[in-house]
Amino acid sequence: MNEMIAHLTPALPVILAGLLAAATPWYGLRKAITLAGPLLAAAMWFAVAAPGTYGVIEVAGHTLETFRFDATSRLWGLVFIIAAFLNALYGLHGRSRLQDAAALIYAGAGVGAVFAGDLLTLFFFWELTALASVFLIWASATPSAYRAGLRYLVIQVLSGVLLLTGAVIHADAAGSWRFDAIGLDSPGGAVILIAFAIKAAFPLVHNWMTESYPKATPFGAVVLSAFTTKLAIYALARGFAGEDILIQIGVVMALFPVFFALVADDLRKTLAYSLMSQLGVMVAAIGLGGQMAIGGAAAMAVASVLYKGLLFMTMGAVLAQAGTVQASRLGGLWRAMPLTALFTLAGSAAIMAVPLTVGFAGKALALTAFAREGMDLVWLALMAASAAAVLHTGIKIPYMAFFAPPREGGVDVSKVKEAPAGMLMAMGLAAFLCVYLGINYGALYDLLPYRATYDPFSYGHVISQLQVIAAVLAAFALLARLGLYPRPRPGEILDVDWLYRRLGYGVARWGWLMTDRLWASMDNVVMRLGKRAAARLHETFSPIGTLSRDIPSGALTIWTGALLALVLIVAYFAS
Amino acid sequence: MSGRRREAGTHPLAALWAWTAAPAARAVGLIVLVVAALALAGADWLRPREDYVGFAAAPGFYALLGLGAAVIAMLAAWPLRRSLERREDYYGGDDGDE
Repeated sequence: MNEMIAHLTPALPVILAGLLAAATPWYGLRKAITLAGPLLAAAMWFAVAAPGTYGVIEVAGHTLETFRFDATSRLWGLVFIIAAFLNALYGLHGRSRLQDAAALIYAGAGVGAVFAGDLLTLFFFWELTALASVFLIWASATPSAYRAGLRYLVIQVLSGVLLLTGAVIHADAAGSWRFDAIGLDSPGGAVILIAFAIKAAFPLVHNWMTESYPKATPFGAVVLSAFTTKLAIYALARGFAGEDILIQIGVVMALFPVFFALVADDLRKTLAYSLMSQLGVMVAAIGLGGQMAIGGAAAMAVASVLYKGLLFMTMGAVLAQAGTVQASRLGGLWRAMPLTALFTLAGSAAIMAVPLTVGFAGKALALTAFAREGMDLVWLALMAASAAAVLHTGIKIPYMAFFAPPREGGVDVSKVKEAPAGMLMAMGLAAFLCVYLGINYGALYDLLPYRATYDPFSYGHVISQLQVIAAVLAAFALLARLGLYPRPRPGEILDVDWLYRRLGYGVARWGWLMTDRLWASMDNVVMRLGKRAAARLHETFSPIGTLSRDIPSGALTIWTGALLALVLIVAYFAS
Repeated sequence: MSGRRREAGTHPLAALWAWTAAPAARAVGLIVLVVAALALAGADWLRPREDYVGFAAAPGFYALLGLGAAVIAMLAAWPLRRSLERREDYYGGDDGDE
């Protein structure tokens, strides 16, 4: 029995808990289910005795490997299970059955995808993540959230369709559905890379994230931030490690969002751009390949799930309690939400890679891999992006929400209450993990796909990181004092989504109008021709028409003679 | 805040952060941060670092990197925002979104 349970994918209890939650109207029981699902999954994870492929099933002649437990998948699986538990804890106060169910099914799909040993199983869970997660955006129940959700769903499903297409081509060429190193040598590989690129929010296909995360519910954004992009990073690490093109894409991805994160007024949008920048460092590290770089990408993914999840939690708490996360309307919330402020600072410290936080241990591996390989310019670009992260997230998020002077006409701090106990517990636990894994970094490194022998606490590394952070903090304080810091203000900052939300929509609308007019014109022409033909026929054949008129017998004789002559000529030549 | 009645809506644990609202906090904070940044940068001259990247081993390199990245990001944000910023309901908000 124990062996049978150990051979089931840990995704199963999480998804089943989601389905049960959907069918359970009783609040207490439902919340117990949401916590029990991830705990059971964790128990199954720990019950696995040795790496291997379990949960093999035959479907329609295909062998599906639902539980591949190896060095890479076990790390991501565990982190996803921890994130699912933290999310359930964070959502304890929530009354929405839909969100409870969607969050668990989505998390379970993420766990299932990282344990998938073949491309068909991966595709199934890949699409399930898209279908389940969109409800976390729609749960906001605003027209703009509904439209953002639709766009999100379209692009996520497209990613799945591309994955299936690429998988079919790849399997045909490779003779196997196994999900291992894919590479870009075959057309199937290129199509699969595009599918992964969409979910990883590569530049130009990133707006599904920066648009939908701020539109999701406070709880929804926390859940969304944990799984989709990190699943894509896992898929890239497994399928495309060492592909050079990922280095260039990663560098662009790390630098491009810096400006947007800095000026965004919505603090959850800032976090979404900040997440994209961090994903860029991971993508570049995967492109570099090698044990240290892949280990660094994995460590950063773990760290990102924790500290980015924590920051989304704190901003979700601010949204829930203050009614907005617009930086231009916030400030002074430390009076009403001191514990949330404390946890925000813990998340900020981790994202700034302050020594003794998980961000420091994670980032150190990835960036040092580039330095060791002699890729100085790439290293410099990624270091600059990391320094900018100190500014646009590490400083901006806590300062704008909690420590900036309250804005005129903004949120009335005296009416704001501290976050509910469940939220505080989840934030506290996430903050604890951010610090615990920073101090006890060996626990993190032991879980990495490759055993890391790197010591992040060398004098050179600690002092250099402190120098970067202190310099950015000083620059911020100085420029803010001089009025040169671009304080966020209400407004829309145009991004690539302008191409389809404005230009593409305009072109499509113009095309639709033109087609409509063309149809109307053609309709008019056809109607006019029809009317004219009907009139002619009427004129000829009706009882008052030409053929009914009295014809003079002389003319009739001539016509008869002419027709007879014509028949004779035809008969002569035909004979 | 201790010893005084708390302001309406102020959390009991807000005392943890009350120092941030002190009148001199900003000026003192600025001085502390600048001095800390200079002291940390100066540490390179007292104890040289080793680095995998040749030019990064230069004293004060990381402090300059942080300063440069932050200043460039903040100053570049002004013209970029001016060119890309639109009104809040540019996409129509809840009524439209296109």
